[in-house]
Amino acid sequence: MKIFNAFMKVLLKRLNSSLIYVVIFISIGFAMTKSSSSEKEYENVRLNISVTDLDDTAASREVIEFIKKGSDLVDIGSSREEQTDALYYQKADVILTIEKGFSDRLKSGETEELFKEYSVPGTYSTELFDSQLNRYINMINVYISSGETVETASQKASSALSAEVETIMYNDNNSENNTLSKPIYFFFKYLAYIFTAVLTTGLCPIILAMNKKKIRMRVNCSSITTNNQLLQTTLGTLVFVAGLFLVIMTAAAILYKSELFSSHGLLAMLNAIVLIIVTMTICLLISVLAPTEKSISMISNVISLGMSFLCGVFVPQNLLGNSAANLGKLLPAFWYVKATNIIGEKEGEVFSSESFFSCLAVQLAFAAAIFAVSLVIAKNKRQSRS
Amino acid sequence: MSDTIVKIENLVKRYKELTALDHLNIEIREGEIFGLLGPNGSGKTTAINCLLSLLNYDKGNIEIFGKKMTPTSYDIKQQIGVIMQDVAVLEELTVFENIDFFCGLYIKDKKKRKQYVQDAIEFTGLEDFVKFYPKKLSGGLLRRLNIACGIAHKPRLIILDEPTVAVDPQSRNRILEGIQELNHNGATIIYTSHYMEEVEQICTRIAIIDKGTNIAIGTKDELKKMIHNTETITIEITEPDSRILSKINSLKHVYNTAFSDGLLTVKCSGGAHNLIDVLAIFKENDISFGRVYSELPTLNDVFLEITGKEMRDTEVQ
Repeated sequence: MKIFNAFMKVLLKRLNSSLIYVVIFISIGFAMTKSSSSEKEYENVRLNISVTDLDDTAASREVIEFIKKGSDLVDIGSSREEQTDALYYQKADVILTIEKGFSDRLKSGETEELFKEYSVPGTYSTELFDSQLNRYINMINVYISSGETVETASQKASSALSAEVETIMYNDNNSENNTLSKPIYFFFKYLAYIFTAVLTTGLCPIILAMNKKKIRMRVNCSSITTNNQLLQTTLGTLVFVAGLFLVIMTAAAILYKSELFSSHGLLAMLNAIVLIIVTMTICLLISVLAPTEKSISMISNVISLGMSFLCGVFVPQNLLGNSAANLGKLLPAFWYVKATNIIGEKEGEVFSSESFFSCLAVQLAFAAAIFAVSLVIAKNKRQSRS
Repeated sequence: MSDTIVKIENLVKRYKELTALDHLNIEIREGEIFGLLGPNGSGKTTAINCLLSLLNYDKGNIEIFGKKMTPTSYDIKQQIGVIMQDVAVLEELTVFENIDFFCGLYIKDKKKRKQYVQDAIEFTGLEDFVKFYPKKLSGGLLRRLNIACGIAHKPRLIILDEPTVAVDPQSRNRILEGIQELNHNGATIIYTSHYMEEVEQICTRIAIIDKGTNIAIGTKDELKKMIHNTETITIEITEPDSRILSKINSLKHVYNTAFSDGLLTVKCSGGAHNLIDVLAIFKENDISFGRVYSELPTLNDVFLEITGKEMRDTEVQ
């Protein structure tokens, strides 16, 4: 097992670049899981409001109290210059002046000329504040018209509008409706990039190092049979690939717990196994073409990023242009992503075991074709050498 | 006579139009240091690669240890040590790990292998560098590591393909002494080189190869006896007149004279006192001269006389 041992030693020496990809990927997976939890994460936006009360009545003070509940009051000074500076430097989102006679106008049912307002026109914060203030005034009018005094109408409107509705983020989970939740779906979807990047940067240089012409010739001079050499190199490759798969799936098990072992989670795992087989054959093809070690990282980036963009890893497949999608169909990762979409019922796909297994079959056909091409190239190279 | 250990018969290897080996015939006996001498591109490495079944050949027969050598002759390969022209080590392994790796391709028993690796390290003087990675080694140390990897399993037949290329003189001497020691320990050596001095220094028998065929084979003395030249006299002198040159040319054993760059070269064939005779002519005619050299024929002279070209010129080409 000397070749296998050497393979593993070379692997350990060159593991760093692969580890970086894996660590970053798992960290992102962890962050995604945390950010998509079902706990309350929704809260109202608080604006900075400057209020000048020229009326100074119970009703006008109640307006200020109402504003304080949903926004922060800021003191910016009373001169025109100070106010425009505050808007320009975004110290205040809205500058509001409660006009003199505010209370009387409310009492008579008027809604015009109650306030003077300065804000940056067309901004989200202005629209939000105007909408809140209009609702408040309208509510007061409703109470007044039902016979309340301005003061009590103001208090009631304020307390009615201050009641908060509990907001719960929708979590399109998983085992109940028998698809994949978003975090695990994206985790598996991005595997198409990670497997290609890790295997091409990790495995190809090892195979290249072990297959350098002078090393290969030297090993061929020894009493180790060709089959034994091939067996030991294959075993080394399988250990690396299995190790990578195990690490990724362990991370998935920790992150997604029982969801990974649901029926759809297991299908996603099966899809990932097929993907890693395809990626292995891609690595074999790259190694057979024997690029220089320095060019491996460039080749890895071109293949992993190129395939990911064309096959819908980074961009949803249903948003890909026709030509990009047609080109993507010629690459195995497209069928992996499609299968993941089918399992997760995402991007317009509906689960069907038939279409899922068809995608697996296409991927395996790619693997067989790439493997065959690699063998032909390797054989031609061997013949041309001898 | 010792047993024949390697027998190459009528070996022909063609690369499309180019004939790399043209009916090469060589027999190597047990216990020899056999030199394969020839200019770059003469077919030495091709012959070695065919011998090791790393290359297919078009015609001929190769036997090692009395058995036909094929790519699957693993029992024969087990007894051969190979030191390639290019240093063949794994950059990711240390000196110790590299020797252990290559030794492990032959020796399965761990305990025995450990001892063999230690012996190889001591033999090549790499004790202080066992934990070094190849990148950190000098050219000479790398060559020594290459040799250690090739000989660690204590083979019966060791093939060294130009092991001293790009090596400093000190390391070169150490390597040459090591090869002789390996031979004294019982290994048969095949040594290819285009450095005539090395081959002359260590080889017991030599085959001179040119254009894929052996043009001469024998001990260095046998090879030198094959040619006309027995002595070359070189004299530092101002330009001699034609009278003096014709007097020297008329000497019994002189067959060629040439003057170039202040040096008069006189080539002799046979005769015991050629230098005295030439100097007597100078004395008689009261001609002063500077330094005088008398050299016995070298393998380059052998190559020159047989092929009509200098080995070093061919290298440059």
